[in-house]
Amino acid sequence: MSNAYYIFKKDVKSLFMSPLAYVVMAVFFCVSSFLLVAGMEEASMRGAFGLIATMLIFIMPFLTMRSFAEEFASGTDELLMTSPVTSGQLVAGKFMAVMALAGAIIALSGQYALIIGIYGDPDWGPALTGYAGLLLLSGALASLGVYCSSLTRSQPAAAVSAFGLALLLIVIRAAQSAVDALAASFTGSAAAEAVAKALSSVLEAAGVLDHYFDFEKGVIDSTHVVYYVAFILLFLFFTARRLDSKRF
Amino acid sequence: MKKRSLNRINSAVLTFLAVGIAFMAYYVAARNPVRKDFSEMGLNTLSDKTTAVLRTLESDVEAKAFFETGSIPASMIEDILKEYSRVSPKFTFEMIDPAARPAEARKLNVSDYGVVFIAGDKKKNVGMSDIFKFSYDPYGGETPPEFSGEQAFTNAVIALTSNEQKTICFVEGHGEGGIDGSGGGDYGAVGGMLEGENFIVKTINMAVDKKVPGECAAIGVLGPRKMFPHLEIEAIKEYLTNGGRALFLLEPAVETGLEPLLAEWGISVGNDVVIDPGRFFGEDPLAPIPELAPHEITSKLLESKLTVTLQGARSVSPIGSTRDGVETLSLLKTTSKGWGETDLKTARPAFDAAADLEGPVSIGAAAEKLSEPKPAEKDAPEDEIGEDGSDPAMESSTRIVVFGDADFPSNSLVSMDGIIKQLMGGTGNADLFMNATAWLAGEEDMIVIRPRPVDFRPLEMTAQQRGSLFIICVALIPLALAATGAWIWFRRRSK
Repeated sequence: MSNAYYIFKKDVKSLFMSPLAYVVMAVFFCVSSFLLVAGMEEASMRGAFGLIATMLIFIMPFLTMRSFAEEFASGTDELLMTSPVTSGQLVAGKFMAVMALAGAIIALSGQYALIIGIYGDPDWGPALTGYAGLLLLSGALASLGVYCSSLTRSQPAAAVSAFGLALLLIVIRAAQSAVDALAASFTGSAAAEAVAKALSSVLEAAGVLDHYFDFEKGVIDSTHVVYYVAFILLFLFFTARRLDSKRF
Repeated sequence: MKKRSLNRINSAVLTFLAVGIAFMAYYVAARNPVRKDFSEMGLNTLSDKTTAVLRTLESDVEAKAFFETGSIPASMIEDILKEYSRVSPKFTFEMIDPAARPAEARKLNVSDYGVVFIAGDKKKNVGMSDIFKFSYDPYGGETPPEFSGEQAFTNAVIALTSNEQKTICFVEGHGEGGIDGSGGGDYGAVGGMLEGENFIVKTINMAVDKKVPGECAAIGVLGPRKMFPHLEIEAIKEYLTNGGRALFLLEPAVETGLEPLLAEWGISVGNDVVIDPGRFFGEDPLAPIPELAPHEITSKLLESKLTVTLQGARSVSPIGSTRDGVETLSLLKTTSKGWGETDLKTARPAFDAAADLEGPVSIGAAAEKLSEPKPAEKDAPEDEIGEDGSDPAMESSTRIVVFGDADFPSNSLVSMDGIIKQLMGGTGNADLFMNATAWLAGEEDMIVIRPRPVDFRPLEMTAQQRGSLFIICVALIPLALAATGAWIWFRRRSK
């Protein structure tokens, strides 16, 4: 565990000492505040959460792209691979470092909570569950990004593939209606209808943003929590397997 | 080489196992969800009654919600409909912005914001006044808006999925306005609304039928201009005696022959015209805006603070019935300044204590015959009894509603655009007609769910404060972050 902590410390330092992280955060808050503050009428964080969740999809690939791609490009991966640090520890350390930065961004969005707290009487329940949802969503996006970063030595390629995959996991829900229509047309074949229905259920469950909306409403549903935790662990596991395959 | 192959197999098996475990964990969680609503008012939690109705759905129900995208009502409706669809896979919904997709609205004959529930070839409309109780108060003062959408939606689902579709029969042959007509004096607008409420609307000619057809859940007599023949009156009398339900809209100065029959049921129809200098529309005291008395028919109008405008009305007063077990009640009344002018020819009406009816004058009344229920029906579930204060131990049979004006639900007053309708004062005219018909047909809300306040918490800040916050959040904080980034960059360069 101390190895993972060492990797985490090294990466956090590297991330927070990177001008890019601050530029990303500056753009993030400039855009989100521009869209939010002028039109704020209600003492609710729901609008802010919706916007932050959308923006996280765009910025998380920039935060995760360095994780492994930079090590591969600079050749420092060989040092890591031959060190006594296991792949799991390596992945955990890098993931936690990215999450520390994502957590800092989410914490800075507390400025909006401060505004509604000062000038209104908000319902804090949905505000807290919304933050829990944002952390889980950013965790899922971070694990996806870290995995993509382990696939290439090019940071832009890692960012583009992470963004593309995240986008796919958002729009995948749109394919559900097409599959439903297909299922409805299979009135003659029970097997084909069952397959189409099963596919429809998978597509319905796959949407990475669909599991987030209940949190911003003030609802914590075990289904969504399990989805995000399973998603994070699965992609971290894929990353560890990827590193293991490079070791051998 | 051999070791590498073993590693690959090992990796593939582990990956397969990990994916399997993740899917299994999600599957189990999705099958046994645990939900906790942390909102202060439990806004995301459906009542047990609604959940029970949805869990026993046997046929598909689709809801099409017509609201402006991004509006607060749209967001509230979407949230609650999402909860409905989460409880039952047989319930689906679609949010439609009528401005963006006007063809969809036209297809379903939707002209106002609301939700249309569809099950097979049956549909039921739930309008804004059923969903929101607005704070607009024509009497002055302010009341917080309330959201009663869950009750309205659940009752719509129940109505659509019950096998019974009730028929309302409208009598013709005496100069009545047509229930499907489009003229100003016709009733096509409310006729369409009745169909939207899952009723079958038909016309009957009793000169031909000789009796009220058995399929009629209620009959409507909308502004007859001629006397009813004796045989037809006898047919209506027999229908009412056998537990029939009837709505009568009677214009002043028209003798229909129905008056003695209604008096028998405890409702006196005066040969007068009602004048109310205390509360009237525009500059015409002959267009009274009556006060509504609490009753199932008027309760929703009272909650929504909707007003009704009549146009030339006669008095309709509850009197003692000659029949046993009949209860009568006034629904609409003028102010105490109003009176029933019996001199219909005078050009200068004035109250004459000897001849005229003194105010407050009743302009609408309901009669209901209550009897002991049949033994098998005594154990009805409590949920299905309305909170109207009626004695649940008694069963209702005959129901009669009489209004002393036939114009108020006519096309000329109901089909107006919203703003004109508000200016004209008749915002609740159609609601009064629809509620009266629903009460007669026994289609009151089957489930009562307490409405909840609309949870809108405004931000109270001045324009100056908003401007300062805008500068801090849009410029200062991002600038501070960018400056930190620049400082790090310079430090790294200088090393």
